[in-house]
Amino acid sequence: MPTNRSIDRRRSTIRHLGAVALAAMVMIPLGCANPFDTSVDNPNAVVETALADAAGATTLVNGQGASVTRALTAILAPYSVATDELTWVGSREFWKNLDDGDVSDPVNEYTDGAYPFVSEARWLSNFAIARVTSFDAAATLRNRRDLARTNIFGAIIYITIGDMFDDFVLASDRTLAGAAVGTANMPIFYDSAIVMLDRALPPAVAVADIELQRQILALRARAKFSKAERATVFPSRAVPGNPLVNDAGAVADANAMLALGGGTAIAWRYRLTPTANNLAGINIGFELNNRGELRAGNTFVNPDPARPIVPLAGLPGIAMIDPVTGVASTTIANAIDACCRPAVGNNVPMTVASAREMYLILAESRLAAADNAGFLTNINLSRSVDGLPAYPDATGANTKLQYERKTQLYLQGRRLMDMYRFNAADVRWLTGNGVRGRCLLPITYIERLTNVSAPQPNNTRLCQ
Amino acid sequence: MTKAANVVPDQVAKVDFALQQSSLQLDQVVVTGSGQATEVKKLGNTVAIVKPPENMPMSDVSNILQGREPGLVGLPSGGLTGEGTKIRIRGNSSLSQSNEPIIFVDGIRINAGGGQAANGNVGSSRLDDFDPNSIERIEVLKGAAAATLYGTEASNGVIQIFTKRGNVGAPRWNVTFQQEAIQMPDRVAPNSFYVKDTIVANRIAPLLGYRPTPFTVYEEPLFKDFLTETGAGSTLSAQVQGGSPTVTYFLSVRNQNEDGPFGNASYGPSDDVARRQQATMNLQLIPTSKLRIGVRNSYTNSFLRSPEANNNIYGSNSLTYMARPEAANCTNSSVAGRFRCTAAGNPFGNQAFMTVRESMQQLNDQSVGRFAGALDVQYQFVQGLNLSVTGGYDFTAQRDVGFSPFGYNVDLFTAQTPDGARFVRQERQGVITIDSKLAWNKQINPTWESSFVAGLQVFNNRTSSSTANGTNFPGPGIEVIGAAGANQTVGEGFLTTINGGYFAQEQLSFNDYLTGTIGGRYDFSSAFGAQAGGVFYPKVSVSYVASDHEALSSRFPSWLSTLRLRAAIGRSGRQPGAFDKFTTFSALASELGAGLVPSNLGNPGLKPEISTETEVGFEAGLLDNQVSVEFTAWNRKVSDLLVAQQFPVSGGFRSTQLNNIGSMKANGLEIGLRWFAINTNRVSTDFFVNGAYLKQTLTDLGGAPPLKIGYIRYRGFLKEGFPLGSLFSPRLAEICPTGGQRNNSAGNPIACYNAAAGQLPINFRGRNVPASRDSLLAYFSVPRDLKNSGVQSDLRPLLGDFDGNGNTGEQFVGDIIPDWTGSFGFNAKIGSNWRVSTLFEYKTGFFIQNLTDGFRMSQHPSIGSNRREWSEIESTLNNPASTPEQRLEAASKYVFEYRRLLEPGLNQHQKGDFTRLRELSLTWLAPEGIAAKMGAKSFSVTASGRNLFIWTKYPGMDPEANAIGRGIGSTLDQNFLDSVDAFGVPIPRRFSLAFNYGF
Repeated sequence: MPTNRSIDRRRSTIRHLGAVALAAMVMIPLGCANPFDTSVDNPNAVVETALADAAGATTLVNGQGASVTRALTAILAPYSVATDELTWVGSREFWKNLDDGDVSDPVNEYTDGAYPFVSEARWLSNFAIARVTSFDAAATLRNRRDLARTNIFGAIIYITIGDMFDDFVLASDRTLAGAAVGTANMPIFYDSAIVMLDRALPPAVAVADIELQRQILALRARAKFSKAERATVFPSRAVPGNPLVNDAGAVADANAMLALGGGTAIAWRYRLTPTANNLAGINIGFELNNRGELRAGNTFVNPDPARPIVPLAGLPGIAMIDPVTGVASTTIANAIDACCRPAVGNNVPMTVASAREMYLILAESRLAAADNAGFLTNINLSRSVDGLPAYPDATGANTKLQYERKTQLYLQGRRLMDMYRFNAADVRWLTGNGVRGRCLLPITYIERLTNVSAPQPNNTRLCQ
Repeated sequence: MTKAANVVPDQVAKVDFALQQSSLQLDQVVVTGSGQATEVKKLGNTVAIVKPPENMPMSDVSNILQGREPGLVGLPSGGLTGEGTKIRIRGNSSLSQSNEPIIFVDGIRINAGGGQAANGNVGSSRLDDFDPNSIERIEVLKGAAAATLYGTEASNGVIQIFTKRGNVGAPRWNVTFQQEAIQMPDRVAPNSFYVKDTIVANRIAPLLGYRPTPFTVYEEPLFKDFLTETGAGSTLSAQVQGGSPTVTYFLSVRNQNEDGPFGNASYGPSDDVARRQQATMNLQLIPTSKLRIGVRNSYTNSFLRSPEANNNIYGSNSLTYMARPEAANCTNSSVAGRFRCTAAGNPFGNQAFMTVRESMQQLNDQSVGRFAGALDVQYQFVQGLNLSVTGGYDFTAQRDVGFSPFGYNVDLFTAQTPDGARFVRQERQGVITIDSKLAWNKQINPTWESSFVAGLQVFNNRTSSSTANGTNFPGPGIEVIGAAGANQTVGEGFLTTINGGYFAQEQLSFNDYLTGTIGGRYDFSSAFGAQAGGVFYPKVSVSYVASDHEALSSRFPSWLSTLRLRAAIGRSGRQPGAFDKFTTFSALASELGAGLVPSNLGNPGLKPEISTETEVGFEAGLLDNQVSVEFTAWNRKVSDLLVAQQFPVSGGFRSTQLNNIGSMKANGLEIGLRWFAINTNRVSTDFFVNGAYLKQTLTDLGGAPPLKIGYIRYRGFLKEGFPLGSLFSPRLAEICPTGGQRNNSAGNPIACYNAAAGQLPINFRGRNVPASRDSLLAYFSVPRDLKNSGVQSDLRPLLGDFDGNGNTGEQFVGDIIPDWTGSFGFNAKIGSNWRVSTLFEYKTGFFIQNLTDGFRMSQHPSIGSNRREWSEIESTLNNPASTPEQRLEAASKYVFEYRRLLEPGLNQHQKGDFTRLRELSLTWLAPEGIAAKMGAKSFSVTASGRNLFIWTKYPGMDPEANAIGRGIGSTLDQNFLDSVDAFGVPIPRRFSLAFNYGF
C-alpha cells in the first residue's frame, strides 16, 4: 500500500513533469528557430539591383533574345492569319475574324494577347542596350559580342513592329504611360533599328565575328527595304502606282552581306527558334501543330479530307504550283515541312533574315530600275536555294517577283505589306474589314485600357 | 432543467424527467474566435456549429458543410468523382487574394487549398483529405467581426474542425460499410444533326444503323450512351473509442473506393476514380487535474484519376458534346457497329482537335500523402488561470501526373503530341502552427465576471514544387520524362510565408445576461517585409440575453421563451503574396542560354487589405423553444483593397502589380428557422429553413482599369459601381418604344427597331439600321448557310448601347453570384427504429454563362451546332424546299436566341435559379434484441440519396457545374469564375446503402 507521503511525492513528480513538458513545448520551437523572423528569401527570381553587375550582361542579352523570339512566336500567328498564308480550322472566333481580314480590331484576343510580348521585347531591348552599352563604356563588358547581340535583337523587334503594326507606343517606361508614335511616324522604328545595327557592326567587326556581321548587314538591308516598302502604302493606304522598292541603302547592305567573308552561302539564313521555355502562351507553333486552330492557307496546301486540320502528307499536300516546273512547289513544301505539320510541334523556327531575301531585294531593285537581266539573275539565284530551275526570261517579271516573295518568304511576317502594295487579296477577306482598308495590327485593348495617351476609345477600330 | 423532489431519509425518491428538445442552444460552448471555451450566449458575433448528420453517410468533409448554415456556401465544380468544392462564407472579401476561409483542425492550421490535376481542369479539395467520420463538430466564424483574433488572412472567415477525442469507458467499436451507386443524370442534350444530301446519308448510315432523310433532324445521345456508366463506391470504416479518467482515445480508419459515372473502358483507360485511405489517432492524457495533454494525428493516402474535362478542347466529355454525327466516319478502318470502328476512325464525327477515343487514352492522376499532427497542452496554474499551448504540423506531399502514351492518337486524328507527352508536378507543403494562450477567468463579484485571454499565434507555411514536362517518346510503354525526345522542361518554385500575431481579449459579463467583449490582434507577416510594421485589428461585441434578464423577460408574451440580441464589429485582413513587393526579373531560358526578363513591377509599400465587418442580430425561441428564429444582418467594407493593377504593357512589364488602391462593400442577411413540429416520445419532427442574402459591390478600383475574369468568351468583369462578378455582353436593339427612340444615360439614342413594321434587329450587310422584312425575304429567296462567314457577316445583330458607355459589346446583364442561398428540410424520428431526414438546397438570383450551348446552339463551323433547336434552324435555312418566309422565321430565331460566340456573350447568359434535393435518408435502427443476436450493441441500416432531383428552368446541363475545378486557374478565376457552364459534367445522383454495427 503506498503511503500518503509517497502518493504526495508521486503527484508532485507528475506536476513537475507537467511543468517541464509545458516549458519544453514553449521553448523548443522558440529555440530551434525564431518563429517571429519574417525575413524570407525569394529564390525564384532576381531582384533588379543585381542587374547592375556587368557579369550578368550575357544573361541579360540572352533574356532579351529569348523575349524577342517569344514575341515573334506570339505576333506571327495573328499577323499571318490575316494574310493568305494561314487559315482558321479550329474553334476560336477571333482567329476566324483575323482570317476574314478583321485585322484592326483592338479587342481581338490574339492580337491583344501578343501585344504585351512585343511590348516587353521592345522595352527590354532598350533596357538591355542601355545597360550593355554602359558596361562597354565603362570597359567592364566581358564579351563585346554582347554589345552586337543586344543591338541585333533590338533591331529585330523594332523592324517587326514597323512591319506589322499600324501604330505603337514607344515612350512608356514601367508605370509611366507614353503616347503612341502615330501611324505617320512609324518609320522611326526602322530608323531606330538601323541605328542599332550601325552600333552593332563595329564590335562585331572588332571581334571578327563574320556570322554576327552577316546578321547585322542582312537585317540592316531588311530594315531599309521595309522602310521603303512601307512608304509605298503608308500613310495614304492607297494602292501604289509603283509598288516596287529600290532602296540604295538596302541594296548596298544586301550586296555587302552576300559578299562577306568570301561569300555567303546561298542558303544562309538567320533563324530564331523558340524552345519549350520561351514560347508565348499563344504561339504560332502551338496553334498550327498542336491545338490545330490554324493551318497553312488553301493557296499553299491541300487539306486532308479525313482531318481537315492538317495538310495531306508529302507533295500531295502542296497546292502551290511552281511556275517553271509546273508541279508542286518544293519551296513551299520545304517551308510547310519546317513550320506547319504536327511533327514540327511548337518550336517553329522563324527566319528573320536570309541570303535569299537579299537576292529578292536585289531582284526587285533591278526590276524597279528596268534592269531585266539583273532581275533575272537575282531572282534565279533566289530560286537556286531550293534547287529550282531558273526562269528563262523576265516576262511577267512583276508576277514572278510576287510569286517568289510569296513562296520564298512564306510565314516570315512579310506577306501583308506585299499583298497591300501589289493589291492582292485573300478569298476569305470580307468587305468592310481592316485589310480592305490596308490596315495593319493596332495598338490593342490592353494598352489602350491602361494608357490614356494611347488611341481611344479602347475598343474601337481606328482603321477600317 | 431542474425539478424539485422530496427525499425522505432511507427511502428511495423517484423523479421523472421528460427531456424535450430545444431548437435553440445558446448554452453551447465554442472555442473558435474567442480565445478560450465560451458559451455562445456570451458572444456578440455568430459562431455556427455544424455537426455531421447522424444518419446520412458523408463521403467527404465538403459535404458536411454544404447547405447546413446560412451564408456558408459550397460550390461544387462538377460531377466527376473527386472534383472538389469551393467554400465561400459571406461571399468575397478580396479581389486578388483567396476567398477561401482559413481552416483549422484541432487548433492547427491546415492546407485546404485546391488540388490541381495535371492537365485537365479537374481539381480536388485538400479539405477532403480528412476523414469525415472522425469529425465531432465544425465551428464556423463567418467574417471579420468574429474572426478578428485570427488576424491577417481571416477576413473570409474561419472554419475549425474538431475531431473526436473519445469518452471514458470500455472500448466502443463502430463499423460501417457503405455501398454506393452513382448515376449521371440525363441532363446532357443529345447530339442532333441533319444531312444535306443522300451522299452523306449513305456514308454515315452504317455507323448510325439507319439512313437519315435529308433535312430531317435526328438526335443521338452520344454522351449518355457511350461515355457514362453506373458508378460504384464502397466505404469501410471503423472507429474505436474509450478510456479511463486519465486517458481517453479515439482511433479511426477508413477506406474509400469510388469509380464514378464517367468512363468507357472499350474506348480507353480514362476514368474518374478516387481512392482514399485515412487513419486518425487521438489521445487525451490527463495526468493531473491541472494538466491535459492532447495528441492528435491523422494520415491520408489518396489517389484520384480524372479525365480531361471541363473547358478543354481535349476533354472527353467536351469532344463528345461537340461531336457531329453527320461527320462520323471510319475512313481508316471499317464500321464495327453504331458509332464504332474496327480500328482508327472518327465514329462520333469530331471535326477539330482530337477524337473522343484519343482523348480517352489520356490519364490525369493525382496521389497525395498527408500527415497532420497536433500536440496541445493545457495547464491550470490556479483556479481560473490557464495556459494552453498548441503545436502542430500539417504536411502534404502531392504528385500530379498527366500522361498521353506514345501513339495515343489511335484514330490518327490529333495533332497534339501524337508520340506522347508526360507532365509531372510534385508539391510539398508544410504548415507549422504555434498557438499559445493564457486565459484568466475570474468571478469579480456576484454580478460581474471577467474572462481575459492573451496569446500569440505563428504560422509558418513552406511550399516547394517541382515540375517536369516532355513530349515525343521513342516508343510504346515508356512513361518517363527522361525518354522524351522534345520539349523537355523542368521547373522549381519555393515559397515561404510566415504570419503571426499577438492577441488579447477581455470579456466582461454582467449577471450572465449581458456580456461585452473587446479585443484585438497585432499581426506581422513576411509579406509585409521584415522591416515593416505590423497591423492592428480591433473588435468589440455585445450580447444581451433578454430572456435571462428577469426584469425584462417577465414582460415577455407567453409565446416568447428566449430572446437574445447581439452586435459585433471587428476587423481582419488578407495579406498580399510573399514576394509581391519586389521588383524582379525572372529566368527565361532559350536556345541562347540562360536569360532574364522583366517579371514583377514591385511595390514596397504593400500592406494587407482590411475588412471591417459589422453584424447585428437576434435569436428568439418561441413556444417553449419549440420554434427558433435566428437573424443576422451584416455589413462589410474592405479598404486598401489589393487590386491586381495592369499598367501599360508598353512600359515593359506584362504582369499586373498588386496595389492597395480599391475598396468594396457588401451586406447580407442570414435567417434561420427551426420548428420542432412534433415532439413526442414516439415521433418527433423538426423542420428547418434558412436563407442568406448577399449583395456585393465594387466601389472603387483606384483608377485601375476593370478586371476581366477569364478569357474573351467569359463575360465576367470587376467594374467600379457594379456587383462583383458582373456580366457584360452585347444586347440586341430594343423594340422602338411608343414616342420614339430612347436615349441612354449619356444622352445618345439607343438603337431600336420597329417590329410592327416587320423590322428585325439585324445590321443587314453593315447598314447600321434595322433590317426590313422585304430586304431579308429577298435575301432568303435562296438557301443560306449560317456556317458561312459571309452569311454571318450579312446578318450581324443590331446592338444597343443601353448603359451609355459607348461600348455595345459590354452592356450590363447581371451577376454570377446568387442573391439568395439556403436550404430547407426536415428530420423525423418515427418510433424507436426509423429516422428520415432531408435537405433541399437552393440558390436564386444569378446568371450562368452557358458556353456549352454557346457552341451547341450556334453557327460554329467545326464544333458543336448539334442541339435540336439549332439543327432545325440550320436545316430550314439550307433546305432548298424551304420558303423565304420559313427561312426568315428561322433567321429571326437565330438572331434573337442563337447567334452566339461571334459577338462574345450575346445570347449566352441564362438564369440559374435552382432547388436541389441534396440529401434524403431513411434509417432503420435495429431493436436491441436483434442487434444483440448479431453480436452488436447497435445495428442500423441507412438508405440514402444525394443530389437526387433538381428543379430549375435553366436550359443547360447543370446550374452547379463550373468551367474549372477547385484550385484550377488563377486566383481571380477561383474567386469569380463561378457559374460558367463550359463542357463540365452534371452533378450525379448517388444512392447509398450503409450498414452500421456498434459493439
